[in-house]
Amino acid sequence: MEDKDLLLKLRDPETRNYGFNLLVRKYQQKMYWHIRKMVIDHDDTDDLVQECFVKVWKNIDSFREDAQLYTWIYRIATNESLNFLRKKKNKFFLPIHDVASELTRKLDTGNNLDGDAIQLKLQKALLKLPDKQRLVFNMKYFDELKYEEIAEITKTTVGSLKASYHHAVKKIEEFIKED
Amino acid sequence: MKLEEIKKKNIYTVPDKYFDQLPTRIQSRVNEKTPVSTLHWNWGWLYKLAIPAAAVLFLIFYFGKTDFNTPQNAEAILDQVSTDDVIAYLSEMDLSTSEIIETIDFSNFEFYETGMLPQDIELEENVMDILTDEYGMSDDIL
Repeated sequence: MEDKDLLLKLRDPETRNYGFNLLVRKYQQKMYWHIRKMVIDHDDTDDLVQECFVKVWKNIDSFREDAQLYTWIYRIATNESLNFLRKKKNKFFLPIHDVASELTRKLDTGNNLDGDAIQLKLQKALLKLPDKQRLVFNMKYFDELKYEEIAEITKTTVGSLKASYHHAVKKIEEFIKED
Repeated sequence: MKLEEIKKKNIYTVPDKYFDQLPTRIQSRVNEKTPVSTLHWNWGWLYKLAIPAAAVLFLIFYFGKTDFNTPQNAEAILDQVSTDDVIAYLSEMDLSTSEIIETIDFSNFEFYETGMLPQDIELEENVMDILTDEYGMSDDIL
């Protein structure tokens, strides 16, 4: 179903619940994987996905149609992920690399993983990047979003995103080489 | 090693049927009624509290409005008592008329100087009878 049809259903009190259910089914996987690649742990991701959809439900009336629905949903998921990581860092009074170490340990011990050594290495290398750079990398590399779309989600310019992605790729290749 | 040499793959997995169940879980979350407050109004208790609260408010209002420092005018109070009641009271008190008269300040009475009752004074008939009998006054004086 097209987003504009979803929105019509969401804005009609008679079909609001049904429309929301369709929206969740349409976007749950994109949102889940976007968050999961940031926070690594499945249970944390599950909590955040639910929080994000509750926010979508509560704020759907304030959604402006000059933006695309999926970029708006991506933005909510992005903000929730970054806030989660920020709180995690502040909660334990740890520098960011220690949070990265914790996430790396989760990669080593996690059950819900299925990949060969080099892919695991790539994920560990990603955790060495700053959160925002990692976010940009994930959206470009894994989700294959256009720079314009990422710019819409992150509210930054295409130029800075290109630079950020370029630096991220260089660092990742160095990290993989070092290991 | 270059990034493009690595096969692009999502290494993360989810529990079985996770995405089948997620919409239902989310739907039940958004349909939960927002908890307003842990303090629930108990109307039974509210009604029980209403009466004492109203009594307290009344007392505050009453004592707040009443000026206890200013003594009320005795005349104003006695004005509210009927003459018959006053007479009945005085009779019961076993006071003689002269004792009652002694308590009255006649300086403001016009007849004290003139020996005549003022024209505009209005006394009830039974009071007049008592006075005329007591002082042996004749009708022409009045």
